Amino acid sequence: MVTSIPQQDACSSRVRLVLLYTFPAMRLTEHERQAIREVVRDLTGGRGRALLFGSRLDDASVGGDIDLYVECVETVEHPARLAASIGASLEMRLGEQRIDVLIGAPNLRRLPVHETARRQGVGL
Amino acid sequence: MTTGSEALTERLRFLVRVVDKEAAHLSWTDAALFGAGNLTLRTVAALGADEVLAERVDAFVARFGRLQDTLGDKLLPALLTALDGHSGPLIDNLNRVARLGLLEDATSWLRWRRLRNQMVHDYVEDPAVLADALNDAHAAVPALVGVARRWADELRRRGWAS
Repeated sequence: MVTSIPQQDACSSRVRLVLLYTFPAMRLTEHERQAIREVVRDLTGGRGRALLFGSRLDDASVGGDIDLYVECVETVEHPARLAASIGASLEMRLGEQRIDVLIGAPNLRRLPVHETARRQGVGL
Repeated sequence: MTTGSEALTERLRFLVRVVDKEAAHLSWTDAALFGAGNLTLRTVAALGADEVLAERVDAFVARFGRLQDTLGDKLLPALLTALDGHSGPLIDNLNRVARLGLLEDATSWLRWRRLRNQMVHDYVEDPAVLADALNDAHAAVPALVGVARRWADELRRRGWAS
């Protein structure tokens, strides 16, 4: 956290703030983040935004599922197919692991899990 | 075929018999559930009030999953062991069998597996997601049954199944 940084360290605190903004807490490698960005971009035609939520945001935790929320601003005609395709493509690139993909779109029900994902979600 | 071939051949024969039956059962339920075409959003939204249809959906989901699991988790490792003497993790096995020309696309296999989580009507709360998952799995049935047939044919061709 940046709250306890001493005054004389103001310059570096600004750097740290920028770093925290740019690289928020999450337990994903750059390789994993890049794979997620590319797969979501390709399979949503650039119209979906990937957010990480859940246990991988907790630096103190170990392992856990990769919970992805893919927010689309336009109607998604095949939400189950899209979620399955994103997960499958990521498994092919990253190896078999537990990756849960949740789709949000104007034509889909907004369930409590969507609210959690939006509230916690950190952009990739 | 390598060492321990008698037990492996017996297992392959058994698994081919199982896969043949599972493919036939899936095809039957698929035809019964989707005889009138894709499921509509309205039909899926009303599943909670239609026990007969809900039971048929459960049968479809179970049979789809069972065939895929028998193929991917049991027959595929046995097939690769018979061919090359070893098998590995699922994704490696899928890529190997695709290189042998016995599977179109490993990613599609993983996609079908992921669809299964989205077609359990008791806990998928958005009918749009449930309907799409069921209809997409229905579209995948010919390919899944085709894989079962292709692997069984390959084993019969080599004399490892009857």
